[in-house]
Amino acid sequence: MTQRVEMTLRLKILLLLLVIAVAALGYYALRLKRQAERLPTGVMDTRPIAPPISGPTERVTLYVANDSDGMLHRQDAIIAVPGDPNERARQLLRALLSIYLGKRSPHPLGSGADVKYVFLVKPNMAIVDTNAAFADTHRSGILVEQLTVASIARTLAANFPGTIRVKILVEGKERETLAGHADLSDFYDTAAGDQFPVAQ
Amino acid sequence: MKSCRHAVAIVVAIVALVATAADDQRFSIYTPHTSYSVTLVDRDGRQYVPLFEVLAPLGSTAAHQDGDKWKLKFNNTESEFKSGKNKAKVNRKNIDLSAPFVIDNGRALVPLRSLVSVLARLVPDSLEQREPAHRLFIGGVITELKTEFQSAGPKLVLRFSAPVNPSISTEPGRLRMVFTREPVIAAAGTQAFDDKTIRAASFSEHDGIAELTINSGAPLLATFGEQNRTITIAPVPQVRAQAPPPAATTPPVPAPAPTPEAASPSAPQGRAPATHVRATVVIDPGHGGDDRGAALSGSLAEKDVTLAWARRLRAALEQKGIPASLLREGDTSLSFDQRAALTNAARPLAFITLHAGTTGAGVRIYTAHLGETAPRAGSFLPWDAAQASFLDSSRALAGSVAAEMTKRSIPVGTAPVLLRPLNNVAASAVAIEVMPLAGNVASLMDATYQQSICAAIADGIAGVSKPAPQPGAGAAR
Repeated sequence: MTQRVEMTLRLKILLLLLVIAVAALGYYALRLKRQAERLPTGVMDTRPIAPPISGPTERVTLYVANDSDGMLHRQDAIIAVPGDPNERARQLLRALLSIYLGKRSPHPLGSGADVKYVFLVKPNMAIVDTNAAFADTHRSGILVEQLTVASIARTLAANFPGTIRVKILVEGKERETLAGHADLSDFYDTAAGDQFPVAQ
Repeated sequence: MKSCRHAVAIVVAIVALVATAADDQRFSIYTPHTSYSVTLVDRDGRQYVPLFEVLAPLGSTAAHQDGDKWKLKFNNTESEFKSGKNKAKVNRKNIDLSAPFVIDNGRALVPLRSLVSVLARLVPDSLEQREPAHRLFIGGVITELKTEFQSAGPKLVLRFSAPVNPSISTEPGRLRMVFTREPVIAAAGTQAFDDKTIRAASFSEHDGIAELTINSGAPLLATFGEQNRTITIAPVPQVRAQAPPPAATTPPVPAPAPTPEAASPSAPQGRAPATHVRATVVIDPGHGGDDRGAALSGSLAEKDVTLAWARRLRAALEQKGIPASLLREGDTSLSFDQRAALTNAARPLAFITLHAGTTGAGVRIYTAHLGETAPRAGSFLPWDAAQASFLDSSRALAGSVAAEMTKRSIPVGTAPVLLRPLNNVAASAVAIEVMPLAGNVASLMDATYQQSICAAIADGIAGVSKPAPQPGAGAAR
């Protein structure tokens, strides 16, 4: 024996609304999933690469890039410096990058940008190995890219006298350009007569 | 089995060559202010033309893609196209396209056969399309060619209704003139002369160019006169042992070398190089092809902006009587080494590489950043330091352009940069990065803004337009 259930018009409308809501939520979830898949992995990878350094502090000189006037600005900072020269150079550049990664950055870099290693090679060379996020998230343009390269090279030269040639690698490998413009296949010469302008 | 493999390899090579040739078909557009060409795209056996690249030099152009819709703003008009549809709304009127509209990798493609009907709704000037020749004339701009054979000499006088600057090449028994940027027209066909030295002249239009071929029984010399409105073709004097010298009113102008465009892989091959060079400015529209450059906005790529600016700069230079050529005329990929090699082969007066950015305002002018250890003289220079002997003239050029910007109250800055291919160029070389007006990225495609800055750049180049020192001090290796 079957019992026939009469569906009222109100019930039918409610059921229809529920079906529409389920379909809309499903579509929204799919869109969110696709958006998440499109995010570059380098941006999300913000895990620290090395533990923070502690030790005696020292006054250092940073050449800070400023997008608004397109120049480098000399700025003093006090940072903790380890004994090993390579590690000192790395902490120096991390201090520079922390300015760029801050909220009121004069020259914003992509989230997660970091310096993995610095090798000071005698007599006058420095090799800076950056992570993938440093280059992959960098803004594209001659000025913005050159400001980054020049500020790194000039900061190293100011704190490690004798450092003349600076080379930037990405994940241990040579890259043709930083983000389509600044040439990373060549050395940056900090002793060249003509240098990127520094604000007086 | 081996011969079978060879046969398959040959067939594949032929198919690849045919495919490449098909990809390289060009469509030239001539206007009273400029001329340019775009690369035709083949889709389902039909020829399409990239609409944004066609319109950008003609006025203020902005476009964005919204799903399968492509919305275009050109000057004061609005248009809407839909991917896969044969109908489009152009400046408030529906028009029928001969084939479906295509959006390919963000590029809007309209059927070549419908281009004139689309442009007729957007451009107020008259349009004349020569479809088989892939040439479009806007605003009645035409340069007529009339030939006059004089048996005394003998010589062939070519009279043009406007100045011309063709690419000239010679090979045994033939002198070939190619007009890529001039709207030259003439009666097609061959005109035979009853002479053993200058036998015949034939005019043809194809693939976006006009071509005049002169068949001869002896080496010929082209002499320009009347401010490039006439070209006199006559036998080379030393070949005509007893004949009097040609009665040219101006000294012979040597045939220019093939332009970088002609020397590019997409150009017809087998052309004999010219023996002399005319000082020219090589303009490099930064990026291109797979390299989109900076994403200036959701729909505006740096490679499209640099090409529009390059065309504008070429027109500004030519208005000043300075010949200029572009390293790429369309959306072509070129490596840094290719850009430098093509430039060095042209031995130009100056090299300008154009870029666009969004940081700051006005214009930034850059010269090469070379280390102190870079050699500046010697029998050979390293490829990475080819710029060394020209650095002083490059700085002078940057200073001259910057001074013109300052005169016009355009914010300007100069700096040395590590930017290829500047280091590899054996000529005065600068990079110019233009920024948007008041942070409005769309202004980068504004015709007035482009015109004002390009005029300043052209004036700056004209200010130092004496030939750069030839690399007697060294050649790039």
